[in-house]
Amino acid sequence: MNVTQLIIPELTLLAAAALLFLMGGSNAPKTRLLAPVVALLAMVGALVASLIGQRTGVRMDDTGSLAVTALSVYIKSISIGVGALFVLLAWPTSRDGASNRSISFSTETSEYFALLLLAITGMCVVASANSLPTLFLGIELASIPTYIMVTMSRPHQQAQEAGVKYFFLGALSAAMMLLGMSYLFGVTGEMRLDHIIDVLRRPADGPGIGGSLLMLAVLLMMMSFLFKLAAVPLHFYAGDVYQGAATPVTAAISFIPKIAGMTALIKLLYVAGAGTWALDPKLMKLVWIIAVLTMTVGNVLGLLQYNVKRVLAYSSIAHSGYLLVGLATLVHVKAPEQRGDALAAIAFYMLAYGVMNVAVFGVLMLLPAKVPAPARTAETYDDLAGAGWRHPVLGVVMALGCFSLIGIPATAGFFGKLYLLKPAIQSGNTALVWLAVLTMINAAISAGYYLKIVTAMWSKSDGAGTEAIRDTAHDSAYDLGHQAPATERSVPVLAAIALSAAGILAAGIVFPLTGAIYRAAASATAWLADGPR
Amino acid sequence: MAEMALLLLILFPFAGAIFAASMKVAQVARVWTLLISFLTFALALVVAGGVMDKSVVTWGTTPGVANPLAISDIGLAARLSCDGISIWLVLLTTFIVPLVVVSVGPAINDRADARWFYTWVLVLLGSLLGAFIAADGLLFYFFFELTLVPSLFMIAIWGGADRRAAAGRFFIYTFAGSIFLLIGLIYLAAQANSFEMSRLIWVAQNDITSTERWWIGLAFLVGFLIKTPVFPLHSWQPLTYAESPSPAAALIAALMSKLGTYGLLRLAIPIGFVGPTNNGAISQTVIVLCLIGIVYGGLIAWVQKDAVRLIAYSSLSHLALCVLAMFAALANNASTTLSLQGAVMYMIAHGLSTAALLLVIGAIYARAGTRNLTEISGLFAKMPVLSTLLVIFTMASIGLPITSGFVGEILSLQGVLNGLGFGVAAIAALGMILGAIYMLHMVASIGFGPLKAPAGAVLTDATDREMAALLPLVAAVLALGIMPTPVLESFKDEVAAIAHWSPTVLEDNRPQQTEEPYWQ
Repeated sequence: MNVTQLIIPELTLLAAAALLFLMGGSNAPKTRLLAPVVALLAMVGALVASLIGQRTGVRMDDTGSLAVTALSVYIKSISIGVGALFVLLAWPTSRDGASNRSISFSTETSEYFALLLLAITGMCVVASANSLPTLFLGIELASIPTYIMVTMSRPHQQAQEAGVKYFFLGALSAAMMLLGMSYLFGVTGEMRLDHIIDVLRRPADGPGIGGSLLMLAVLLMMMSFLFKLAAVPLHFYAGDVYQGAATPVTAAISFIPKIAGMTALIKLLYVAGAGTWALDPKLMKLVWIIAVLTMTVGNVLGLLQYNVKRVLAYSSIAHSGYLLVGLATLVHVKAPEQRGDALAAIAFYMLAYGVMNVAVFGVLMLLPAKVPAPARTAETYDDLAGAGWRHPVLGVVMALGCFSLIGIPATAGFFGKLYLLKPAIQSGNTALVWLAVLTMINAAISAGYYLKIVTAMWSKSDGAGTEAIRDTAHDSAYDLGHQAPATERSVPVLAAIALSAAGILAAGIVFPLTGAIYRAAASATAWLADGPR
Repeated sequence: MAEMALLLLILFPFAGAIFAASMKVAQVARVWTLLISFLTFALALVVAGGVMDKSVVTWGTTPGVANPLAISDIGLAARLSCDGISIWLVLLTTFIVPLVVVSVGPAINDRADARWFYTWVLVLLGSLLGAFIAADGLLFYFFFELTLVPSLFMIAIWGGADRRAAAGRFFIYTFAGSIFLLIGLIYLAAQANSFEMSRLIWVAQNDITSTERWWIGLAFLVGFLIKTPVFPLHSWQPLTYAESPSPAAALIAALMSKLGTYGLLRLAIPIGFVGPTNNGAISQTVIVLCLIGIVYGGLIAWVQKDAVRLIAYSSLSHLALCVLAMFAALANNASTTLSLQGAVMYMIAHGLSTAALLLVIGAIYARAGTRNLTEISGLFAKMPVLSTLLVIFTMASIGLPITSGFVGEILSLQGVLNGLGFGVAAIAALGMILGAIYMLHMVASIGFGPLKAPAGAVLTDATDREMAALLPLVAAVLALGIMPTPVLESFKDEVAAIAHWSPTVLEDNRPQQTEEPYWQ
């Protein structure tokens, strides 16, 4: 099949990104204000193209470097869909198009959206990558723009520091991945993932082909993907990077690299298990251990933070842990149906996580900081104190997002956790039942800091009436002298928040809808569970 | 009609809550909340009529008819059913909530944010009702957990000085307990192909190994014992009660604690503790814990200075007797029904008297500014009506004849005596004596003796608003105490079925391959 037919969504995004880079040459405010519109239209176009292009079975180009499957279409759709929300979060709302409440583009508005589109293109490439070079290119295309986005998002040292730190560690992880890939190629003599599976399945070579070298290759690549997920012990950058970046960028980098990394990880283990998930038991144990460590370390460190963005950084680590719980279940269970359940649960959780994150970060970027430096928008618990009374809608959405992240009923997060736990407990495997217990204990630990956020937002100083608080808050919000004048409307951000809140609630209450989303996730991943196609 | 009312019972409060949140004027929100909660009570009466008619009202459980509110992939469906036990808890809930709304005083009502309080009251009402009428284990869990959200806000926003710590501890402690409940549910449902309660129970009694049943029984038990709470899992309770605003304390103490006892009766006991492989060791441990709780709660209550903490510890002691009666029922088949009837009756009586006591103490606190027993005394002289009410509810709480407390307590004790023998019953009866001591101690120090109150306290007697809230409770307490037989008869068959273990009788509930498989 002609390669262009397969990558219409990616081409749409790329073309728009190129256009945006060209638009970046203009310094007119009008051009800057036009940039998000272009980005959003490109997203919608790419989403439509990706959904229309959906076919059953696998479609491959002539060289076999890309394979569009149901899973690719699902991952592309959710990354473009959630990506559109990121465009809304970063929408410039100042009159000159150079900033919104939280992010300062200076003159680089168009470039920012171009980079965002490139990162999402990278996710799409990862989703349909079928050869080692394409996979590498996809991962890097999803990562490199995020380094720049972090750096350019705020004119502060913290942002520069975060960007540099993120870049160096990201480069290291890319080196690991390439090293792993070279070993994988060396052992199997193949670049294409489906050919590697064939080699690993060839009876003459036996299942033990490659032995420790294959293991080394898988481990190195896994390490790199786990870095993208910020899994423990490769999580050290997350706190600083999330704190340093402007809030809309934090939202984006807590989703894009994670989904890319998780997709790549699933592909890698599928390949390493020779398409039947017949993995080395040591590898299975490793995934289990990393899942437990990631959840637990993320949640415990989250309890210790004062900066809410750092809290959410550790919360995102913990959520990587929950995704890895799904992965651990996937590699441990024996029955294909349960594997299907685990895969569908991971796919469902990715979407739920993306939407919950947009809600939480969206609220955070709309609230003013008490002290104008270094961040204009809320970062600490103090900034949040009492904010719910001044902005009830934001307060309710934040509570909804936090409850969803804990996994309280009537939210998408509850069903996300339920779907993750179901195959683990159903399998009857002792290790997995314990994994489920540990997951739920972690949910209880995480309640500690999520509740702190919620109660801080709805707190009141003793004796002070609502009105008094309201007055001082208005003063502090507008004394900052930042570029958010009283007239500035953040309609796009509010739209993103409203959409994500509606999604969280609808998926938690309207049971038929929840079932429909899950079935979409299940049908996208079903082919992976059955073994060789 | 009654079937539809059952569904509306859940939907109504939630819909009402959305509107209440948008009402800017506190008074409007209050009247609206009253209206909704009264209408919910009316709906509960309709359902009660249906239950009297055909003993159980269900919605969405008809075999062969697809449930419109279901997630088939996970086996969750909005199956509702209300039988002789559920209906009393539904009635209790819908009866107490409007009265609590009436009782909300200026401390909350005059604040600009009062509408949010009413919103959370309605959310709590809806979640409690949902838990009490769920016929689906996961749906039960769904609402069981959801009750935490409104209570969290009520405590954290309108509570006392230490409210945020109290709210956090309450939430995390009870959430952590229900973790095991969820895992037990999913594990059992994996074998049952459904979360339907009757199937879960059938499978637990027939299809799983005794080791599995041991773990599952324990998992269910822990969740419910924390919610009740039973010693030594109670450490969230005194702080929570003390820091909650008094309407919220009344709701949590009277109604949310019943989620624990109801869950024990409905799920934990039939799933883990009925029949030959009945996990005797765990049962015996629970019995010992209950006995410790009865005495320990009583002794600690005795030395409390804070009246609300005193009531918290008295609840610990009282509900331990309720749980003890449930486990006593398993020990002796002859007295099973009697004992469980006593336990259910005790749940209703405890709900009424605890809510009433907390509301009276709340009213006194609003006037005197303190609930410390050493700082106030002799209030009878200044507020005879309120003090009389305090005495009446205290009598109900310690189980004086002609009050509702008497019936539940005496039947529970009878069950304990028959099931577990004289020694255990003697210790349990010690709890009654202790109860009389500390409750009368409280009444004596608040109501009688020389008049003492902090300076500046305006000791007016009960207002019309308070009378409107408390008099129906007096009526209910006396009515149940004078005419308990119709009540006890109405759930006799249901409690008998709970403790009844016989695979052949329950054969109808064997999980069958339905047209629409619940598990893929």
